[in-house]
Amino acid sequence: MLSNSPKEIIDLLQRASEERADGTRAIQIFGGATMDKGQATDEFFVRTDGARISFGVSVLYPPAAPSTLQAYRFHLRYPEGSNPTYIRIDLNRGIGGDALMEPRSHIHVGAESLRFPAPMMTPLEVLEKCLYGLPLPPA
Amino acid sequence: MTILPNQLSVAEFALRVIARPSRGSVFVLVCPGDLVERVLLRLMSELQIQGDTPTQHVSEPHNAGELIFAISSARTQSLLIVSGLETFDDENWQRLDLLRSRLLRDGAMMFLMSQAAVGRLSENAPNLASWIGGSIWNVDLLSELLSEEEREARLQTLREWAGRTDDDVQELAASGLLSKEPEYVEWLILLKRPDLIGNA
Repeated sequence: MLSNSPKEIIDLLQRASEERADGTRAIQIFGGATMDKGQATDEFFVRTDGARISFGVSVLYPPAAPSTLQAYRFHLRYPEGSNPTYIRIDLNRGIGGDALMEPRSHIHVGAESLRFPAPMMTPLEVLEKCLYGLPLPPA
Repeated sequence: MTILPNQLSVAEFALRVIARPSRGSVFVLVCPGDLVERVLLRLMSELQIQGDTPTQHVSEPHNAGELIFAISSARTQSLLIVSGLETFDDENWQRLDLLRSRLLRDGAMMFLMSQAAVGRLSENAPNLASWIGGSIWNVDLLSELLSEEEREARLQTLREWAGRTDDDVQELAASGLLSKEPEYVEWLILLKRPDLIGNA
């Protein structure tokens, strides 16, 4: 499914870990680049059909309570000339905000300002969607 | 002889185990005693993710005979992790060396052990050490963490994307006005300010 070598995949997975004063640990998992603006780099998971994926997942681990998923972004960029150019599935942090314009769980289809509501999915579900469930758009 | 293995992340160690023909393969991952449980869980997860072969675990055998019995009782095709060999004295390692042919199995075998145990192995079980050869690494638990340079590069990307400074973001977070987009949570963690996530 991916054209990256296993070693490249391992190297693309990174994390940052910071601890709060109350002992809660904040973990940020990075899969590839922070942003995909079409830059020509090798910082992405590349599907065999040429689409590429990057993601970030933020989780809090309190010392004596279940972990809480704070936010995530999964960016799937299609090859040059595709329409739409990308799909991004975001989970925003926390409740609140404008549920109509920016629902917490939403999908961007080729435009930053367009946010369509999406079901709340686990990070693995979104990753599987990006790998297997979003084929190239018709030419 | 002192063995100073190269460093390797758990994920890369698992990749080497999966990639190598398994029959007769023996690997050693050296890890501090207080981290064995953590590394063990991670290693089992990585082996499950990267391979389709079941993994079994032998923990803290009391002596060489018990270890050999446990190994021969395990499913021969499975990947086998052995940990808890720190209590093995010189005699146990010597006995294991004599009985090393009993360690041959179809599935790969991994020893998860401390540097001190590796020292006793190399001094008392030279044939087993020769069998292991270069398939020994020190666990590297830091390679997946962002370096300061990588952290700064990601922060710079976020600054350019948002047209904001780090101070802007921290002030907005402290006042509860920061956007709820996922990039801003990343930003706060990269700034080492996870305390502001809850306020933001």
